[in-house]
Amino acid sequence: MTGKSDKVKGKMLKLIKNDFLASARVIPLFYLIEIAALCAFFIGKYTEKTKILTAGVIISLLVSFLLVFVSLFFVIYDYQKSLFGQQGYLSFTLPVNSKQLLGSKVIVYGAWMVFSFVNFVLVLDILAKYIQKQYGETIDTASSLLSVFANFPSKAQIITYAVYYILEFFTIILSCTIIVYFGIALSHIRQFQKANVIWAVIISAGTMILGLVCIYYLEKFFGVYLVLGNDKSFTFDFGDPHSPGMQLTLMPYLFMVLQDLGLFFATAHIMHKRINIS
Amino acid sequence: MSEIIKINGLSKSYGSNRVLNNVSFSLEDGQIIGLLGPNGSGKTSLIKILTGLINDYSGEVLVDGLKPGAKTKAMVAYLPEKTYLASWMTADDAIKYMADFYDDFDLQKAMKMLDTFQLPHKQKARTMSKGQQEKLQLILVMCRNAKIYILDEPMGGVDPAARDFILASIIKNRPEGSTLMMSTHLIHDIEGVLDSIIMIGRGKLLMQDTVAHLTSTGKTVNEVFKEVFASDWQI
Repeated sequence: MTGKSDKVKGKMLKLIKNDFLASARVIPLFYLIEIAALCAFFIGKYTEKTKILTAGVIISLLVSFLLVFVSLFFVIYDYQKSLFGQQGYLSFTLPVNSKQLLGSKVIVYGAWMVFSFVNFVLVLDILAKYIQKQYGETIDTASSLLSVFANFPSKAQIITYAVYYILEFFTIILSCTIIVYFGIALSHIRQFQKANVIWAVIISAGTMILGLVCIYYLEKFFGVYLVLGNDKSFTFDFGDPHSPGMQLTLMPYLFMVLQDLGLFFATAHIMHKRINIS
Repeated sequence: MSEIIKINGLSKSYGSNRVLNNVSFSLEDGQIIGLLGPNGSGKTSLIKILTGLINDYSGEVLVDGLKPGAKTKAMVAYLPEKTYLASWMTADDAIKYMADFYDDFDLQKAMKMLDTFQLPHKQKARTMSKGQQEKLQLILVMCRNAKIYILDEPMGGVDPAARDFILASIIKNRPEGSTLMMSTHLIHDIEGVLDSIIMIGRGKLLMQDTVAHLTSTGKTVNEVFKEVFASDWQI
């Protein structure tokens, strides 16, 4: 039993390694350009050479912004090409199942997406701090951020609050990735194959809109809230939140997790049963 | 000998187009089998089902007693008609990729064969000629110590001079006792190495026989093929 599960894990790790190698040809180049631009920014700052500094600011900002889209492009391009193009003959005859094939893509490209967002926020933070200093602003980003939590009675609540938003952020990225993968997979079944690009867009956008509508009504009629009470307590409220304190809505998060699971298995099923690589 | 492939009542349709119609046959291991039939006869669909690329069919398909899936993929070495190499892969990358996933892949042998076939180790697949890509794919398949080899038109895009070399490489590198199934139009080129044949036309099994029995009448496999698929099949 252990041997079998080790083999499955081993194959999964190999899939992740190879998907990472496939994506690591282009994306890291952009990070290198960004690092070079940030170096130029710091050199310009310390040598007080405005042109180098300005170029560093502009390029690092542009590249970090561009990286979000480059990552998104690769999320779609590699998935499409390696599974539904001729390379599918290689991918689908590997001794792995479709859940492993899909899972590896979700992990690798989900990680690239998260990394690109975190990178964008970090670059913005570095540059914002510099600009604030340059223009004589005394606002410290960290303390201004912490002032939001001034009314929170405990550190535990601040951590809960932060974890909530970080998890929600990751869930949104994961959801978007899986929705796009579902759309692309479904667009490759025989009925949609002829205009698969258009169908992929329609299915992905449709699934996203449907998800948002579901979240809206679920939240309206079956709201679930985590309430961070002023007396350092944590309670769950159902329906309308009535307990005093900071309310964190859980329904969108719960829905997205369930939706992701459903779409993951649906996509794996489509890949296994309905796709014919041509 | 034991039954390595068993197909019972296999049918497959694409919409209203039925490409395989109630096909049944079984194959014993250790043979070289020719899968013969004209274009559109259902050969590639049958191969895709055996290799686990198509899973929505009716009927029973067993490969070494198992339904096509991850386990059977580990024992089947498949050479498709199309080139499937990722554009970023060099020959070395492709070999390492196969070695990563298939426990039966012989890395040393693959590196040696690259030199024998005079293929560049570090050249990207996308910049290779079609012939080079096909040779590389053949290496990737024949360097596995698989139970079953399924080759779809292995000499389809190859010039007549290279066909003998490719066929000799396939036969030479096939492990003792393994089963080899080749689909091809070029019957004349391969009939000398075949143990048995399967002929399918318009999705139906038309003939399954040993080459020894077939040629005992004094006819070649090529002549029998022409008789079976006479002019009315071309309409």
